[in-house]
Amino acid sequence: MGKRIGITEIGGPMGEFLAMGGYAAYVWPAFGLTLLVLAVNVVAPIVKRRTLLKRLARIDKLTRAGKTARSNR
Amino acid sequence: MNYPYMLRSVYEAVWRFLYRMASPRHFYRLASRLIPWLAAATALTLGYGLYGGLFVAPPDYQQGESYRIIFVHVPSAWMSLFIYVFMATCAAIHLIWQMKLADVMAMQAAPLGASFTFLALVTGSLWGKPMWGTWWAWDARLTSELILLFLYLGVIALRSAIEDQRTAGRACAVLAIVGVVNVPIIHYSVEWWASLHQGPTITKFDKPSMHSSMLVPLLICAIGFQLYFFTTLLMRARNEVLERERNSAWVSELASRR
Repeated sequence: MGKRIGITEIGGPMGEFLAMGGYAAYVWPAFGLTLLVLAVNVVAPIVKRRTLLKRLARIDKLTRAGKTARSNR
Repeated sequence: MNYPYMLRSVYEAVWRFLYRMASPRHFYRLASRLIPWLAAATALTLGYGLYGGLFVAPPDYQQGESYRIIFVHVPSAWMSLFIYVFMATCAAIHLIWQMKLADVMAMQAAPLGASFTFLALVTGSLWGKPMWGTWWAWDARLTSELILLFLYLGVIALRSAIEDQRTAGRACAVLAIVGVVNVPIIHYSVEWWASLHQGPTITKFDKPSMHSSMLVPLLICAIGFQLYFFTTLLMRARNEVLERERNSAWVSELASRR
């Protein structure tokens, strides 16, 4: 079994990039949290739209079948 | 060049457009056409800006690599202010011209504004800890931005606290407009009070005191965040319009076609 490497011990230019000059613990959570919030705010309306259209389609079908309060208005 | 005639034509075209947009159905169609383009522009701009900030911009001679948080912190902060002014403007339009679509826009802008305010505060703390030695200080800029977050949350909470949609819209509009005084306070806080937070480097009536190798990716990120806001705003507003107009013929026709 080899020696396990932590993120701070990766060498080379990739290691330097990930280390962010020693500030990795601050920089990466900042970017990570930003991307997370941006992702949530994109996914939420997409999911909402799907559920909304499904619900509206169901209500529309029931209305056409005469089974809701809006039928035969 | 008949300038009065040209001006009047432009004015009438804008007025006709706004009049049509007051119709939820027309807004729904326009939003559906715009969203894919805005989304593509957002992805390209934001991707390029973040790439520039992480890979192209050089390290700072004082702060090293930690300053790179600026590429998410500053655009978030700018958006938190822009969205509040946008929300308050839509609120005023709703109150003055009884335009329901303006209420939809104000309502859906609030959670996005709150998200950016939250990001500005947290990324600011993550930058402040290594640089200033503290996660938080009750200085004017930070405190007034925190108050902005409370204002956003207040507007959101007030909306769900009131049953009747029309009353809720009016109450939230008043709160949004009253709170807009906080925006110039936030902006000028670093000039009016002795602050831990640094003074204006870009949004001032002078040459920006930031080198272009850093300023350019920052501005690209800022534009990316703007495009992102309008994309997600239209997505949310489109859903809200569907919900509010659920009893109308065009919505049932749309839903039944699925």
